[in-house]
Amino acid sequence: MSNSLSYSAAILFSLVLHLALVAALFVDWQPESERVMIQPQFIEAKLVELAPKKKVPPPKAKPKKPRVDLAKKQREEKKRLAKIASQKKAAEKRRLEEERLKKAEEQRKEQLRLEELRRQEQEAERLRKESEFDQALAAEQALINAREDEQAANSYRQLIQQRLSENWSRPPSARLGMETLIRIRLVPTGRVVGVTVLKSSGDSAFDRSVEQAALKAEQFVELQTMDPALFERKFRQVDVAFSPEDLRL
Amino acid sequence: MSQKIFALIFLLLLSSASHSELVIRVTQGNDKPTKIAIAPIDQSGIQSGEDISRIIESDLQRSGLFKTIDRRDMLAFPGSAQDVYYRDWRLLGSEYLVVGKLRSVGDGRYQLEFSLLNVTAQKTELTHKVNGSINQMRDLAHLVSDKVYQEITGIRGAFSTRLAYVTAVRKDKKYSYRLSVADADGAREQLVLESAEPIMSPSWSGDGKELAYVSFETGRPAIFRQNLVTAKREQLTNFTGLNGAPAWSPDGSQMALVLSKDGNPEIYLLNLNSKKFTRLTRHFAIDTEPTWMPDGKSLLFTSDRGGTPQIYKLNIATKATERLTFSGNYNARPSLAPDGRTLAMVHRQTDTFHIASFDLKTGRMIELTETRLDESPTVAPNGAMLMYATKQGDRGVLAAVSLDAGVRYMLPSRTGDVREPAWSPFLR
Repeated sequence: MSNSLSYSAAILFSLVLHLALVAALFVDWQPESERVMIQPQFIEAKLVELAPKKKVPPPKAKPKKPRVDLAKKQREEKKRLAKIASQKKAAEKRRLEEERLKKAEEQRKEQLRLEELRRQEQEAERLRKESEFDQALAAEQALINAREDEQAANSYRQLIQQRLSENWSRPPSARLGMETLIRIRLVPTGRVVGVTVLKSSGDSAFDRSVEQAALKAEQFVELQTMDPALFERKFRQVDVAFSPEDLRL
Repeated sequence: MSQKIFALIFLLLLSSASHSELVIRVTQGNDKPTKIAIAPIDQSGIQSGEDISRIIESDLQRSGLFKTIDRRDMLAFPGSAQDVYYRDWRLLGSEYLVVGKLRSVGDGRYQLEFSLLNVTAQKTELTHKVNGSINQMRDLAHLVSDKVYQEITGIRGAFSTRLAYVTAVRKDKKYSYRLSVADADGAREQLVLESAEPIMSPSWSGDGKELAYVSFETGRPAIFRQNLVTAKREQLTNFTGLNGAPAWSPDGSQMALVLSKDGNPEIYLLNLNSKKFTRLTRHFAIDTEPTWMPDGKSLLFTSDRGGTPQIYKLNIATKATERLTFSGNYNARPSLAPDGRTLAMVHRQTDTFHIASFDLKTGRMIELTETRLDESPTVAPNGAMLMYATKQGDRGVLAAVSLDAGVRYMLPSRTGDVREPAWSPFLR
């Protein structure tokens, strides 16, 4: 019996945890990571249209040439035209080249910008994750602490229960279903300094047997090893219900 | 959001923690005799010839619920609560202490003032005064035992009650039968009737002032009633055949008994004022050993109408019967505890007779004795013990066992065969 009793706190704990999980599902709790909005850092960028610097040379007025040497002239003219054409071609080529370079530069810059953006995003994500992890860790730690506290408290409670059980000599008037609730006041040395009946069983002999059990315990020396904070929180006053389950009647 | 959830879990944890913190549950005990010290009563030179403290000690010890502290270990003999150093008694492991003082109050009367002190809690639980003559020192002691017992156990003490029993003494190849009454501890035996013919089935009246019994002195069984103070006797039945097993009703106005005048043993009711008989059972089997339920409205009796002797319940008004016992091949001599629920009886599972208790509510049967040939159980008026007759060697003696079978003791043996004990009701 006392074993199952010692598990009750653990069972209760797990029950509560499960309940909390179910509750979390019900309130549609989603990991917060998706909700945290990080504002991307926009960079103002203008696409610049590069105007050609050199316009096609304006058409030249054809000088009237003496048709002295038409063929020669024609040849010259041809040459000249070819020259112009090649000049034009070169200019165009230059322009294209310049344009290409400009574009490449632009692309590079854009890439850099994107990279920077990505980097910043990653950093933000990292920071966010870190802080969330810290929080979870802290909560986890709090849980662990509470559980350890509870475990420690339980082992002391079990000790008290055992000692009281050993000291409890029931009168023959004791019956199944009787219950007396007492409050034991303790000091950090573990000494019992007071016992009061909070709820009587209605049978004075039974009540007295309960008081005697607590008074006979006299001192729970083991409580001296307890964390003082825990003692203050949970063991200054200990309430104990005495209810026999091992009787015939 | 997540903080909220964690906070919630934490709160739940805390609340569950503080809930289990609220109450440690103790559901098992370690029932041990209570240690009690009876400080020698200050008798201030009054010569009564009785050691009151010793009588209290043996009363409490005999109940099995107390263990007394040896007088030789005591560091002081306080006569009242003011003189008590609790520390001394605590060192002896004593949980309670009885102190008292006897003094003369004139006219041959004496007063015993006593206190029950709680050594563990260091306080006085009760203080009382009881009066008596020089010949009543045992009564005073039993009264102290009763008070102490009741205060600590929650059950009324039955130390001031008495026992009736029959002794058969063999003298010169002839038996002599004696009906006697003694204190519950066997002391102060008084002869009620002596006869050369058998005496059987003593039964106490509800007020404890009279006995009914069966005597064969007229040559055949007849039921008599006899006042224990005035010794006045009256013959109640004189029928042919069996006249037996008288049982006084709780209010004392009627008597249940067994007569076979109409052929075979049947239960009858005798109105003690009108002397009218009413037949209650009508069956070709043997119906015998009636005993009253505390409310006086029904009787328990033994009948072999089912093939083997078993206990039945009979409603007096409707005459309806109901079989109560089914376990074992022999259940007889029912004797009911005052709670109206626990029934003591002679029980045979297969081949040996034992005394067993039977819970009328749950139907549970518990064998209380392990010896052979145990018979005639009679339950004390407080329901804590029962007395029965058993054999020690080839002699009949009286023994007692607690109804939870935890304690047993033999009454000091006497000459002759002791049988058929009957425990008196409370006497005051």
